[in-house]
Amino acid sequence: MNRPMLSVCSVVLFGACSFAAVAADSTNTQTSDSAEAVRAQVEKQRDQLSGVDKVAVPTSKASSAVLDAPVDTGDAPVLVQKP
Amino acid sequence: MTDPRTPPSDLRQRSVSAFPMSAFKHTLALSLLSLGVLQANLALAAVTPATGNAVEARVSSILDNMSQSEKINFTRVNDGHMIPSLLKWGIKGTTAYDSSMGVHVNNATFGAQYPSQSALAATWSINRAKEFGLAIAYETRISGGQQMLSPGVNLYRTPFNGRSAEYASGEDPFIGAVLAPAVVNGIQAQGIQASGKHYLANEQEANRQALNVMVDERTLRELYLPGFESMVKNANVASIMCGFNKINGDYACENHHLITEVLKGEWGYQGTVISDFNAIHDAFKGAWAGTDIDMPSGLQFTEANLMPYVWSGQLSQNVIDDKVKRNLRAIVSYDFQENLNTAKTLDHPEYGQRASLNMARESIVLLRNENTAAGKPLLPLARDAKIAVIGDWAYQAPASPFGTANSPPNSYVTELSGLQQLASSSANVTYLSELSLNPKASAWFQPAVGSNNVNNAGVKAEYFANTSFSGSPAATRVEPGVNLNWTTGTNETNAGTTAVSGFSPTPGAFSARYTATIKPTVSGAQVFKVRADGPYKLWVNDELVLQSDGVPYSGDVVNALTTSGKTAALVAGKSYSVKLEYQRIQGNFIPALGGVTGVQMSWAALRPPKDLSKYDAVVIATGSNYEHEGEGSDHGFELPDQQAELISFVTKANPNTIVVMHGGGSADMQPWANKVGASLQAWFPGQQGGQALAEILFGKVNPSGKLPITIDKKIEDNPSYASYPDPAAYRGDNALTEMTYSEGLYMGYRGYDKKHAKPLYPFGYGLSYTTFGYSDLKLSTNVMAPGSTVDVTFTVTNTGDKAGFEVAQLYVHPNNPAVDRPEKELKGFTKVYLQPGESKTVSIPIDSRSLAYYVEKTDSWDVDAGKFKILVGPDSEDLPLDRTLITLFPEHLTTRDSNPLPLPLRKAVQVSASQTY
Repeated sequence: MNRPMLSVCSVVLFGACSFAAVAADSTNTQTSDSAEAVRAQVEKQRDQLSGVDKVAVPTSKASSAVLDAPVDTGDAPVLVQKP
Repeated sequence: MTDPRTPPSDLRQRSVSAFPMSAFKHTLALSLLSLGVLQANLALAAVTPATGNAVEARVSSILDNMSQSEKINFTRVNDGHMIPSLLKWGIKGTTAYDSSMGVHVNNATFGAQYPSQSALAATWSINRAKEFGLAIAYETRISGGQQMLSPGVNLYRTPFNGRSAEYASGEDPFIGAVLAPAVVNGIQAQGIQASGKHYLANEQEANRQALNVMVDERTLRELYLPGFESMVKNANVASIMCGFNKINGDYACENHHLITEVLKGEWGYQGTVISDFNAIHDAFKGAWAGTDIDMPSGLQFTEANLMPYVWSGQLSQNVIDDKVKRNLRAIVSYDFQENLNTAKTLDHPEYGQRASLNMARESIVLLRNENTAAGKPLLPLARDAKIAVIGDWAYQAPASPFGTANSPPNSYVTELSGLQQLASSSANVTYLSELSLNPKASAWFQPAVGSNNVNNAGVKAEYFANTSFSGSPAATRVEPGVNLNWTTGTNETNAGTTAVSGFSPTPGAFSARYTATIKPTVSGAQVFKVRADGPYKLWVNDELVLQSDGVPYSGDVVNALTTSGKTAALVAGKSYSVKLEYQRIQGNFIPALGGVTGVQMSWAALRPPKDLSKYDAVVIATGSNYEHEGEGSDHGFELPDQQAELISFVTKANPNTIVVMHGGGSADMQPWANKVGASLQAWFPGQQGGQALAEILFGKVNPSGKLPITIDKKIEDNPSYASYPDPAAYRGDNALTEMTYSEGLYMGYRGYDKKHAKPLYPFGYGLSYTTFGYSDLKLSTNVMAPGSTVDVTFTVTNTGDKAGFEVAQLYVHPNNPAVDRPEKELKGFTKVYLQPGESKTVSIPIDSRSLAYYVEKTDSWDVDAGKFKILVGPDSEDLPLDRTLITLFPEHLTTRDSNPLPLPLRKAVQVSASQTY
């Protein structure tokens, strides 16, 4: 295949890709007529992609018992310049 | 004239160069590359982010074999990913979650609800920052995400900001410059990518999509950029999110100066710049400016939009390739190509629980603690004290703001429950529901049939199939209360639950009228509150008490509108009529993220019951939550729901009143600040906030939080007030679109210093149940030599009788500066735990950058020869120790090499692999 033909092919192929991208965007715009809809759709997509939509999280409807955890009394990291 | 769609010859050659390759060669090359990838993965998986030649070689090997189409489509996403998929190379893409106060998935919180990042700022703790980063990244990993959309380091320029909760800087860039990289290093050590946001100058939410922030370069460099600079230089943050607003005329995601020149150029940033939600408006400008990913709809970075600019040479191939390289690097350096985590059940919720509790314990700031009639400070309370609790904030699960930071907790301790659990007897803690606004709990009455007596519970509801209350109602019935939710189709109240049926609350074709009678239990004014997704008016005894025009405060994420009003004095036991009219005009209010579609009505007494003085103490939990504060709009300075008046009257009835403030920032405290017995700033304290607060009130934990902000006596005193007096001016059809940071460098305490004015509570302030003494300040040398670090050492002594933390602060004051400079600036802090009587000698490092100011003309940080006073103490207005530091020669630091943190601090914010889990 000589270079002129390659150029033509590449332009045609690129054009097809561009059309596909534009078409996809048009569809996207048509189905999402508000920022809220886009946001909800994206969050749903994220959850599906990661699989977290299949993971149940136990929720408590009432206040829980306080944690029995000691107070962390550690100082900030020492900030002395080492020679 | 050249056809703009015809590529220049050099690009044509580049674009066709891959075509002659035979299928066999192509497959072989891919196979060999995949083999190399697999081998390299073994080496790169140990530490994240991996850096160095192996990463760059793999990135280049993929880039060199990508077509132009693949490259451009690797800079945009519209399928839920953050970094796009590129399956040909085994790249499945990444998923990012909102995660300011918890991992937001499934429209809920996956793991813990953490205190707000403004609360983290109040801990002044590197330990807490790392612990938070490690824990929330662990939860992100288990929930199948690869990236977190936090932390935030915008500054607390104004109390109005709806997103104050999401920023870890407070009002000073140095706090963010220390804490944010510690958070980021905690996140990224766990194999999860952080995202610093919102770059840049996103200090207000009002009209954020159109706002143009005008701010001078020096102010940007000295105040608004160092938090981001530190995340880049001290944490290699994986991504930076550019915001919605404009800065000096260009949208944040189209700002070549800030992204390409400063972030990527001067700072040498190697990560990705991701857009906020569709925040790129112009494909060329966004691409040229240096934004690397157009998300989440990918509307701008399409081949159709960008290729003409590539062909014309306006966008060089290097610009496209640079984006692709950065996005590939994000994949390769975190080993997401082959080893992508997927979601599973959270097996260790305790990591987040403890991190949340520890942060809450250290973030709550004790602002006032007066002596009682017994001559001792009101706090801590005795375990057997009889306590009255007022406020729905204490009764509900700990709240979070509206918007992407909204994180309802799965497991929690309410403030009421925390007090009841830690009291010697839960019966000693009494919740006064009649003084607390809650649509589920409000009591309503209907006239009994055939009689004028009021003895039947409920609200008469008339539902109309139009927005004008016209004609006969489509349905009429008695509801147990008004807490109707159109999304869930429920009306849940303590008096019973009904379903939304028999009528249709269709936006644009629905209105409702609710009528009822109330019988106050306390004489005096009553407060009414309505929250709804449309216009409403409420009358009590035929007098209009409150109304809303239903016009949303924000243009993108639309929260329901909450309004309160107070009645005239009503008499306890008497009956008063109530009428609420509500219209559902439009359907763009958001039912998630803390928002609601529906209508809620509640009322409560604004005066205390006569027997309030019988309690040893009264705790009022007040402030804002998702109803009043959040993304997309700014709010007022006053406490919501008439709470200031309630506090004043309660305090008169019982001077041992303890006010607990909630919210991302501060509110107006002046009307009662010097009258109450005690006050605390609790921020959004997270799921364990009720425990932490109770531990502090009962003295199990000694409060150690310190204000990362200044609390104004009145909003007019705030240095930003001159340019931003009213958020309402940025709403509606004629919303303002410009904001000038006219105070320049003199924001927050810097502005107060300049005016020699006193705020209500100064920056850095916070009380303890013990006292601390400062002594023996020494400098390792009195002369700062170029390139050196000076250790500032001093002794902190616990001079009281309780163990506790102290946050010691260091400020630099330039003597006779050659240019206009703030009186003093925070340049160091440390935190130590001291037993009663114990002393510790601590050291805070400073270097040339600590003394420098930015010079635009030379694009450098300059230190003049001269003298500087090094000030040390417990807060910005109490700095008892000082020494003079001398610089003998002028110094010019480059913006590339200088660092907001001295070297020992850079090391202190690192997280080792041994700390991960």
